[in-house]
Amino acid sequence: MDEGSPMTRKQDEARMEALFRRHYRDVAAYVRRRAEPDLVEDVVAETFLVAWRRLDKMPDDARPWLLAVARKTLSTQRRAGARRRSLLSKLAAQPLPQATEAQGDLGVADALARLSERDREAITLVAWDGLSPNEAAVVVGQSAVAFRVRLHRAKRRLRQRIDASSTAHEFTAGELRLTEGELDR
Amino acid sequence: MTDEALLELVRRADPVHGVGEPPVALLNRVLASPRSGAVRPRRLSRRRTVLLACAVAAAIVPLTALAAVNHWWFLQTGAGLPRPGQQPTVVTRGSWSGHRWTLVAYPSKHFAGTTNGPNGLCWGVTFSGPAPPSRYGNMFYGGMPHGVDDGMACGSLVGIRKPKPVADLKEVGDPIPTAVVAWSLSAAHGYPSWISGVVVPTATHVAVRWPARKAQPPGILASPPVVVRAATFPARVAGYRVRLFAARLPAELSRHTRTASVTSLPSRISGTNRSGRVVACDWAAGVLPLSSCRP
Repeated sequence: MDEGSPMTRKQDEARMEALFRRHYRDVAAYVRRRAEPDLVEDVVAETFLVAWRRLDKMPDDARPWLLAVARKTLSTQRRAGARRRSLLSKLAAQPLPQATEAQGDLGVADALARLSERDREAITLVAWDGLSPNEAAVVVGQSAVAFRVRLHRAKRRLRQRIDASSTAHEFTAGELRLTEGELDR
Repeated sequence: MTDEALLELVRRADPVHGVGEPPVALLNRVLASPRSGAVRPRRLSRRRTVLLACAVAAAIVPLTALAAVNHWWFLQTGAGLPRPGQQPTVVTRGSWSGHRWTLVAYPSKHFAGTTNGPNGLCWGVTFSGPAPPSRYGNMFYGGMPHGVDDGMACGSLVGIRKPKPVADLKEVGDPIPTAVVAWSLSAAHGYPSWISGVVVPTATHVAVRWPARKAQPPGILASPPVVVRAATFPARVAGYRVRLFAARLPAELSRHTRTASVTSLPSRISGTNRSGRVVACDWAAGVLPLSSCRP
């Protein structure tokens, strides 16, 4: 990629700065919801570095594109062995937000945490990141129609989880348990 | 509950409440970084590195050496089992009463003693130690394994799947394409008895149930119903989207008289997914409707 003339460089810097100021909060929030605090800064920085390098290919609607980059960066971090504990997994063990308790529905966060990662992603992109289904489809690299179907199913399963949250039976990962006998492992 | 009400509930569970001002330092760092150049050389991920190392190891380490190092008796000539089509993989390891064991799986070149039979997956528990038994005593099996021999079972399963429609399913004549759980029970003198098996990839746990039993001579005592639960692990064998499990059996299900054996067969084996939903349901002679395994 050619950096071009000084004038072009100035224009690109101005454009990048505008992009950064406009979308930093969305990207940072997206990453914070899905990564450990110590990873957030790196992932956000990497996302904007990619944006800087590919500024000439940036679509007009930059937010889904940026979140897609952040998503890939997070995925790479995971594959690279970066330790990552999802905030979502903590939710099930934490007291729920007051507003939720006030409604008498104690199972939302727990039900959300019990969803598959795929379902959870569909719902949280819309509910937490405030994306439209079409924008969320860009983030996950699906067609809009496919994402709408995915979202519909995810919402249906979330409703089922919420309904069943009081009776759901959960196994602990890696657990080996005998209800009778005195076995160890 | 409407879609909007549902999403509103989810919004209230959002763990992030506000993000600070965009940090100028980060922006400056980005702007100071070079845009041109050069695509960075692609580094090998840890996973790729491990796979590469495994491929290299597979090329240079003969199976006989692996057999000796790991006490994998099934690789020895004359073990009576299908020869591996590729190097066996360790699915998981554990220890029962001080006996360290390994759950191993491999794709076979052929099984059931034939030289031209279909390829299959073999799995089994092997014990390590200074003097592991070359044979583990009696073995029962259900689901669909073929070519069972002592501590190992093999079957022509390739990504076993959930039968459809499950509601109308009673017993299946040919269990191979419809099995959802395949299992084997094993017992050996001086070792705990155990069950191992294969289950559909959506089942993260299995529960094996034995019915209550009346006292029967010789040496079989009455016992209440027994349920053994075990986590499942991915097979890590190319081409097989299945999960494997191994679990020790309670002492009351083992009989160590002249020969070690398991005293009774399970009445039901169920697989559950991460949500606790039943996704597989078998018994000793075939597949059951999923409703049979619901509590």
